[in-house]
Amino acid sequence: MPTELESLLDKKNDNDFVGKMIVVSDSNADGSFLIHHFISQVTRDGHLLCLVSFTHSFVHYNTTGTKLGSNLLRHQQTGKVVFVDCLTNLFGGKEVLADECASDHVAFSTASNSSLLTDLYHTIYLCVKELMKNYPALPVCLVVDDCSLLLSLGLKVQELVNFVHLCHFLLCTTVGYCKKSGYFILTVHNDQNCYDEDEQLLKAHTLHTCDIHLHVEGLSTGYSQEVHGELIVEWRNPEQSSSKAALSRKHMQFRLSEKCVHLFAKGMSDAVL
Amino acid sequence: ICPRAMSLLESLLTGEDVRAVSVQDSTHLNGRLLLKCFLTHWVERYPSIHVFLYDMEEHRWTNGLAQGIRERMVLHCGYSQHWCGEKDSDLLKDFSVQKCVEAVGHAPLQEVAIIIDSVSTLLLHHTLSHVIRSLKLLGSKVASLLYLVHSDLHDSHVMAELNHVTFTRILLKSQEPTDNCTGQRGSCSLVHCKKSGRVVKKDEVYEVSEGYQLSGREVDMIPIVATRRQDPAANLTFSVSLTSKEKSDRAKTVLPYVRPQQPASSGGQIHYQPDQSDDIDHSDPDDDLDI
Repeated sequence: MPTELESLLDKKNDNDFVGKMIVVSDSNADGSFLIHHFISQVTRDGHLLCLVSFTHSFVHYNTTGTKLGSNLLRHQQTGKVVFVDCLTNLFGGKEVLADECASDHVAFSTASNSSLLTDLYHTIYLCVKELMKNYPALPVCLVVDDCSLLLSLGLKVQELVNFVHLCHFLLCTTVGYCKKSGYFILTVHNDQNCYDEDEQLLKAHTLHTCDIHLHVEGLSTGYSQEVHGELIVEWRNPEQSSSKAALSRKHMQFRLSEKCVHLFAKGMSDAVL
Repeated sequence: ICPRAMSLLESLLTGEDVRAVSVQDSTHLNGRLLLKCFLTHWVERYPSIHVFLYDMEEHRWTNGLAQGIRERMVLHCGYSQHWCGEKDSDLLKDFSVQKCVEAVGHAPLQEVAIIIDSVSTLLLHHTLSHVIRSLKLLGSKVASLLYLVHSDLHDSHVMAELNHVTFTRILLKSQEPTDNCTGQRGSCSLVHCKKSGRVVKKDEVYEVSEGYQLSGREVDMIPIVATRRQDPAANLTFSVSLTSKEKSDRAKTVLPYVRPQQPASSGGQIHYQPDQSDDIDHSDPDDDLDI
């Protein structure tokens, strides 16, 4: 039975997102529940997953995934999930070697910022290649959580945008390695009340390329026990493949519970009705 | 009935007096729609149209274009060349006027129209001065140059520099689907420098129907349908109007506190009508003064 989020995204088949780039952004709220949902969905659909995280450890994703009904550890042991730990090993001393992509955790390091993303991309490329070698018929999903943290490390927006374009090219294009049999999910953070030019620019760059944009923001009136925020879903058509509108949008409110997210139209929370 | 004058946007679509045109869009206003409208119309005018694509791969960009249009345009995909790592021909990394002219080939440049999608991606890989010099030079060599700029990716300084080298800029202001959802309508601001040197600024609305067919009109020329004023007293069950006798009686009515007109006398006079309770002393109050 599809979850409320899958119904909102109009997901009818397992491969609906293949070939697409999905951007998850948040402002004055935590949108990480969407990433956990997508990770859970990828493993339930039987797809391959390369999870790159700058924010949490593998244990966190596994624990949260268990509540949502997926066993990340088991999928990792069967070779369908690779976790790239950028949280603990960002500037470690271990070099990336090609055969290390077969291991469970892939760490990477670099001396300077400009080659950090090159090394990271190289790591991702090898991980994706290894996943597809083991399971050639399955789509592969790359999840990067959270891209905008790299701006705090001093990386330039231009370098990050090039990295995003590279990942998009790798997974979502017919000429990339995955031959459009992959999809790319990326999180960016941009608080609207504290103006950060770099974060805004990064978000704008990713939006011009993506196919689906999910934006989580807090309520403008403040915190509420019954309504945890607003979720705006945009379906984008950047290539303008017809004369029809390139952008369609749905605006909902949500409440998070232990195991799922409840969605409802604005002002239609159970507490209000 | 006078035929409607062509809007500025429509005249640009015909290729008349077109040199360098920039379409400025943002994340919520897709300028690629106008690019494809221009392409659809320009294939009828220019013998040779070259599209330099840097934002996405070829099959995605041409998705939705009629087969006849695809056959009549030449697409150079700098995006695929760059990200595939083609060192010999990388139109994104090696962007220059010379490379573009080489890519155009043997077609006479005065009959060539060039479309660039987008300049924002070029600015990720090249300096502003190089891109501006190249656009200016390219625009002077070819018949018409059209390029897309994502205005929310650049600061005001960069946009001002880009505006300086363009002869026509189209800034998108709004977009929404049409009522039947098969097309789009929107509004834009145009600034057009004619060959005579005159600068024209207009706000226009446009509608794009299936097949990227665009029609536009000036915002001021939207016909205002004159509404007939309805008489509010037309359908009442009682009469609120006066007959001619009632009007003349009303005119003759003497209002209680209005005195009839008297001939003007010298000085002002105060007429006082005492009440019954008034106690008026007619003696002179200054009698006891010994002046």
